[in-house]
Amino acid sequence: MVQQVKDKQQRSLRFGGISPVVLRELSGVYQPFVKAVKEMVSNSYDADADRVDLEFRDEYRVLTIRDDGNGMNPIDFVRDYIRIGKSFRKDELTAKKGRPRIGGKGIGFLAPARYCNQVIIRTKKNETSYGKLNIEVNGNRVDVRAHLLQGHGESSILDNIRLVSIYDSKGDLLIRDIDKEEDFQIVLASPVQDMCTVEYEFECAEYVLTATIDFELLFGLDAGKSLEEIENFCTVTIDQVSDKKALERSYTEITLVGIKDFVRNELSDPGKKAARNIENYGGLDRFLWNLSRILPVKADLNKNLPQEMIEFVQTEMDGEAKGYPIKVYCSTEEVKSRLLERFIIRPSRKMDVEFDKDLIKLISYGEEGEQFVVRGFLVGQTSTIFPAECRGILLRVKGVAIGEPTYFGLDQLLTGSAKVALSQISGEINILSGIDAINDINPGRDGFYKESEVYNRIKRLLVGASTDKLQGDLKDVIDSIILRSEINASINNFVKRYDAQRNSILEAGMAINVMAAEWPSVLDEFYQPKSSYELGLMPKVQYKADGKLAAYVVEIVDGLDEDYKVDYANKKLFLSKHADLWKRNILIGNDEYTIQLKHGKQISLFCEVNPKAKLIYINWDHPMKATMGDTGFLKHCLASVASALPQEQLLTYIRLITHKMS
Amino acid sequence: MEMKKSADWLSSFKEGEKVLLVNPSVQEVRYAWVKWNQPSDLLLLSSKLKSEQNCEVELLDLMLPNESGRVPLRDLGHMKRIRRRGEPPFEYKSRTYGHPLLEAKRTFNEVFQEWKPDHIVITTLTSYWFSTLTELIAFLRTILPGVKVSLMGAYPTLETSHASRARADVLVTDFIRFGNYTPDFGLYFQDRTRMLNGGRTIAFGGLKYTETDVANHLIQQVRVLKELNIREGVIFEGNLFRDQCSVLSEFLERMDKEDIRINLHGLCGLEIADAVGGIYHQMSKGGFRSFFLEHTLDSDSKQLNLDAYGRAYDELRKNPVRRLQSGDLAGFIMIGKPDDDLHRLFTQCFNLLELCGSIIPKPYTPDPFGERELYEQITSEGLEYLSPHVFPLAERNGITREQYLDLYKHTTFLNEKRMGNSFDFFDNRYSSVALKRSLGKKGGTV
Repeated sequence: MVQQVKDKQQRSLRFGGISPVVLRELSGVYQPFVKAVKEMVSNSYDADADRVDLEFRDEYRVLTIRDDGNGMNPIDFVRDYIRIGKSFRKDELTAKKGRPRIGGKGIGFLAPARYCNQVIIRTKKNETSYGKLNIEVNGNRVDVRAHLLQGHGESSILDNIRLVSIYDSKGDLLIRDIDKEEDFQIVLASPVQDMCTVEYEFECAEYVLTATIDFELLFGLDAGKSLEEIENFCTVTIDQVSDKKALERSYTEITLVGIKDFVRNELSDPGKKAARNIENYGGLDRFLWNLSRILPVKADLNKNLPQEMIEFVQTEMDGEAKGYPIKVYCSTEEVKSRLLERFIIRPSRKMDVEFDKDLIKLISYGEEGEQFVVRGFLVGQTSTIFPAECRGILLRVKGVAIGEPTYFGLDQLLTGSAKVALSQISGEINILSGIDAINDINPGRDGFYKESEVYNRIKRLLVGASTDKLQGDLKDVIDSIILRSEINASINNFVKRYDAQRNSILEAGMAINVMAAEWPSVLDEFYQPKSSYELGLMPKVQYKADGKLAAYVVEIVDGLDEDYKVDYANKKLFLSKHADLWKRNILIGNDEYTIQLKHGKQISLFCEVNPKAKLIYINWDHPMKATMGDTGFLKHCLASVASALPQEQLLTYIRLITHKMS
Repeated sequence: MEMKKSADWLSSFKEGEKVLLVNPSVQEVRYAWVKWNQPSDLLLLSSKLKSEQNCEVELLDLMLPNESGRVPLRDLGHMKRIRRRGEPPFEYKSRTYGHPLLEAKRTFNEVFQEWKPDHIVITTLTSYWFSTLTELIAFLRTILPGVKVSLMGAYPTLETSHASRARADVLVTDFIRFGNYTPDFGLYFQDRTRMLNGGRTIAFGGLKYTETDVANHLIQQVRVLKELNIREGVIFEGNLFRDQCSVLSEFLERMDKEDIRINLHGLCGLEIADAVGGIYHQMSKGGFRSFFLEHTLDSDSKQLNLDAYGRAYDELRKNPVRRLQSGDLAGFIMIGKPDDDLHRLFTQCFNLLELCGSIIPKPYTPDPFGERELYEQITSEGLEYLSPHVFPLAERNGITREQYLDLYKHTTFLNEKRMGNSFDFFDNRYSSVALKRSLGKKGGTV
């Protein structure tokens, strides 16, 4: 239940001493719209909110951002929110969740200014606030009342405020345990001329503040005019709640009203269907994709990423166990509430830290509590990464993305296959401590200043100190991608060769059985035993790779999920025992035979059939193979058996076919 | 190889057995109604096995149309030869319809590495679609060695001895009675089945009459289709109008009462001689979008049963519930019968054109039970000779194959479906292209 405070009036706020041009400039740091929303969600994060709901209404004309964070009391609102700059330096960590604070430079209320006509803020704080006021004292009387009522003028709140103590600028205590002074006038023992700090307690649970900021009015003013001429750019009303449930809640709700057409058009854009980047998505999806990438929300970690990396990102980078990531939901009139998860590269195949250690780098510099702490990862792929926005290394500070993904200038420096490899790398580096938002990051968080020591330190760690001699994790991943690309070309040839052999065996088997249905005699020769098998005694042909794979050892192994796996580090190629690709069984009538390829250089036979062992030996060294290739030769051998060719009597034929001019 | 009656065969399935059902490729002169063909017996079998034996069932349907709505065809130049006693051999073109096995081999292996079937069941829709079976069985037995292969359907039932050459492990030698089981349409949407079929799935549902409580079971089938977001259906039944249309009428009443909407197509079983007054009106109101009337003759005169056609015409064309699109009302004309008379067929074509606006020639195959002698006469010259598209009774009835083909062309000329693909069997020769062009001018029906 909400009750208006007795004799309540709408109060108006004024700015003093700032040109409207400056305000306009400041509001411009939040570009595009998604960054403005990010700024508002960041405030919720710092307010220890678990959950933030973004709700678009009225065909994107209205957006409400609602959190369950600490909320603000009227004094907080005037002192911390609706002003330029901060009044007090806040702790590094938030009070309840201990999250690393990510708030910006104290101009957050201007974030949505360019994108809507009006912002309505409704906020409530359910707790006893301990606050401080900086008051310039000249004499022995300190008038605290005016400071407590500044901006909202709601005197009824004074009933719930107790002054605690007063310090001078050196921190020396002037009065401890201030008794309730007459009308909030502190009388000091002796006169003081100093900037003093008054500490107070405020039981603020029953107050709900509603403020309306009129950006049209704020920016409609001529540049030459003073902002002091605007009397009512922000109107404030304070209501009281008495309902128990309502008293217990803390929240902040910011509603953007009259969202401008250019933003609405972007949000309702249907997307470019042929695009291979996020332009492919519709406007809202694109907005959410970007928002998820720049906020400290939970990562969407694809199942193809190795478990070790998933745990590293969740624990070391994102602090999931500590409750750092914030849950952001978005809904529209058409789309039900949807949880935002940060897009992380989705590898096309299952990766493994052991087999893919050359492509996956988990980056960890500094330990918790140290001055410089960085956690991150790099993932290389053997093909170009899509969507394109996922390429490159995204730098984050305490979970918040700074600018676009970068290659630390390598994209300008590298050429050829090394440059191509860059488009196959995705990564994130999260700077957990050691950053100074003012000195390192430019306004609007579009990037690091070139002179930022932190940025240059990370660059040195990833690509080395000199462009003449690149070194570091990023350089290693680039080298691995190039090497793998060369090896993969050889693997493709290897797979193609054995796939063609397999198809040839399958086709021959199918043909033999189709013919046998009409003429059973085609099977006869497959059931004629011999007293001895010349080829049977010869060594088997082993699986052999060539090209860049020539140095790799090929092993048939059990337990592989895929047809094959390459151990790039140990130069081994594993073939799955159960994969059909490597098999050489063939159905002859109702019997399953196995084809064995044999080295039989000195033997003139193409092949022999051992019906008892259900084996077909094929002379892989036979000169005829060179004239017809692997697949043709396989079929030729099987056809020679099915058609009962007298192999021993084909010497003339073979000599003619295999003869080459000397 | 074992030969089993369906009851024994069904009882041999073990609890929880993994069963792969396969609808094979076929070799045919032409293959029409691709969108509407569905291996209903496999879908019914899936329901039965899942329900009674808790089997894990997947389906490989090599006859699913691709994105263009066509079943891929290959071996275009393949000629088949029929040797006939005392006559010169007869050659005709035959194509293989269906998805090639080797192309999808990698996908099959991916599925089979994770889910290896215990039993493969292959169906056969006709007794003369067998030539692709041996190849298919050899392929499956090579990539899935040791897995039992059963062959069911018309081929092993009607041609058991011939089917023994296909090298299946088991031949099911009679048709399965499915009682009140309904087709398992959801099978097509199972992950493994989708993967096996290259992501292709069905766009329509082939509804079946059950043994009892037909209307209720039809409603259930329609509900399943709606859940699967399938909006088109056809009822596969010999005579939709049986029992004075009572079954169909009850089903349509229930659809109306429960406000269930689906597009139905009367592609078969519209035995119009049995139609009762008002049934077409009710069908049209109940969602039927097309009416392909079975060829219905007066038993005495052997001319079209004009009364029966007239009733359909009156209800659908003269007093329509909704306007029928061109080609949605058509009349079948059975050709290739032993007692065909060319003059009579042409006359019937003109009559049908007038009554229905569209004509669909339906080549005739003798009933293997009712016309056993005729059936055996043809099969004695070769089983594939049964294909109605080669007109096995041509010449014996005084009509040459060329004359039958002329009749086909004639109907194409007359047909409102001139722009469709249903009769695109002229191989793009000059005459075919010219014909299509001339018909494309939309000069109206001739």
